[in-house]
Amino acid sequence: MKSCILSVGYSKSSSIERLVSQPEFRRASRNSMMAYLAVEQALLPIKDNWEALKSRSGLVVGTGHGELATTVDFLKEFKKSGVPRPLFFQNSLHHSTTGFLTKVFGMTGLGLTTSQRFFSGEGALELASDVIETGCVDLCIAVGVDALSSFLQTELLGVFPENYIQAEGAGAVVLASDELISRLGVTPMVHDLKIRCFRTGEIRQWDKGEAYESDGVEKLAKKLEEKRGAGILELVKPNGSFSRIEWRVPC
Amino acid sequence: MQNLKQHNINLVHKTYITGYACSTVCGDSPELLWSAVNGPEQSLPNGLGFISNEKHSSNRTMDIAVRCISQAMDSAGWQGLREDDGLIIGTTAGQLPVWEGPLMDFSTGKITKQQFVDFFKWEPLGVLTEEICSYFNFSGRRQTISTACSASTHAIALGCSWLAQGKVNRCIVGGVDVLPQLIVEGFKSLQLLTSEPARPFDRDRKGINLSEGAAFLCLERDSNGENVFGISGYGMSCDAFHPTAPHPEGNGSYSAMASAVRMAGIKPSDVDWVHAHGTGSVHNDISESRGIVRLFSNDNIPPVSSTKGIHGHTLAASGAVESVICLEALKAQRLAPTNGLRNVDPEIKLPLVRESKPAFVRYVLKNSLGFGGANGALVFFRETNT
Repeated sequence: MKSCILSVGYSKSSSIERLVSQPEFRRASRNSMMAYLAVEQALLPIKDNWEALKSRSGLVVGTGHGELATTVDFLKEFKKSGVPRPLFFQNSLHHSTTGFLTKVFGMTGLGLTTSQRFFSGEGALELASDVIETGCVDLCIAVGVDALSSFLQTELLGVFPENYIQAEGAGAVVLASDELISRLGVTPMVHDLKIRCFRTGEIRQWDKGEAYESDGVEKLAKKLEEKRGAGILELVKPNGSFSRIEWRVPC
Repeated sequence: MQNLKQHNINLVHKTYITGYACSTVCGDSPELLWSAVNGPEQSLPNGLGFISNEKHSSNRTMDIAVRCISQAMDSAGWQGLREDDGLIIGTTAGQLPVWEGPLMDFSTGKITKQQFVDFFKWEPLGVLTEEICSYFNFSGRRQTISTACSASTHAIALGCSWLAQGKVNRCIVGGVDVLPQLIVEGFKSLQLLTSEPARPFDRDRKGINLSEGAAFLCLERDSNGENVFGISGYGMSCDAFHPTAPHPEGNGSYSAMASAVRMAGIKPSDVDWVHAHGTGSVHNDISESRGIVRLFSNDNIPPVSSTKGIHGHTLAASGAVESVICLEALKAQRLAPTNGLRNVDPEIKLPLVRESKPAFVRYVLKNSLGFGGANGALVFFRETNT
């Protein structure tokens, strides 16, 4: 079984304004809302088939900092009041974005969260391909998401080199098996996705950068949206590591 | 097999386990863990279990993981990790214990911003795996999986898939978690903990005992001819139901177990023992028991145990730690009891193992559940041609 890219989506952080007032997002973290918007957009081309697909669909979320904002909120609130807040705790786990999205979109195939420092997005893409190619699910959405927290923006302001951790975002790529693509009678955007990560430099280096930790999925989504055809995307990470994502177009 | 979803599982083949190791409150070896779960009842002080070896270490997660991985590789006869090997680690807290204390100190002005940042560099979860890869001078394929309490079960499943796909030649898989304040207080906030001994599946169970642990397994395509054990099936699913509570009917859990059994190419009636997640929380135990009853069609359920009453719930490491118990059971041809069980909850219709006993054990089904509705299951086998 081979995996192909069916559709892509990404979100702008400003777009979460439309979600915050909705009851189902009242308890959602910023990560969850940004990821939701990216997945919602990515699923548009198959929205009419979604009901039939979701029990055989999976989600892999890649995130570098995870739910840092709520982790900090939980610990500071507990230090201040001595009372642990359950909502902060449930949202503080790295896996909470995946749990939220699988519930909202009704995916019961599988839900995984991966974190690989600068390669969390690339890791999500790899795992999503793996679970399709081994037949665990027919369709899998790879998400890369990292949110800026007020903690990073204000309390730690000035500590990191200028421009570091200045960005946030979310991207989503819908991968499907070639069998499902054929069953749906749709043309995939690309196939034969190959991802290679080249780790150089210090693991814990915090250096100048213009992206967020799991930016690989969003950058791939944007690249595929702006230009169809075979291609290569090289992403240089803040510590000098880099990844190379290659793909082909269907014959 | 009744009512099992027809999943198109590809690349089905056996994965052999050529070595394994664990570190728990019961000791630093599979033998000590196996002896403890089959021995007299013990309880964790105040319902919490801490591994004492690295008491003074500044990074206990890293130290416990490195020691455990080294021991697993030694037991498999591996001289180190090669570029074409793989490494998959399941963890929930990662290195949070390194930076959560300094965060408190920073927020109260006890340390400066710059001092805090030196600790905060351990915050991204993937740094743990990268540091471990660096320690072992390993440049190959790696993943950090953080699917709450089913993370190491998923790590093991993904290791099997990497071998089946030919992405790696060998793979070391498992999980590690220590107990930071966030986890302990967080579980308390959800009213899931008890300071009394955990009593999985008991009528009077009060909650979970949390503890620290790590376990790692060495996976290969071929057996080493001595210990012929392995994994023939795995399943993953999610509930899509609630952030922290499992589906009340155990739907997701059933689905993961059914997929694992189906991939193993066996019937549910071939399973000789189910090692349950069995945390001792009210909702987990009922939900999981319903999933198990559904899989085995009520009247054909094999013996079921949970051993968390002895070693506690090791969070992301629990799937791997309890996989070690499954392997020891296959080796000893013995079933471990459900520690702490007095009176079975009448809503739980499972044939629970009450005392350590010899048995013919060829297939063991290991089940895991996690927050966010993350479910995983593994089928372990012992080859009988030796």
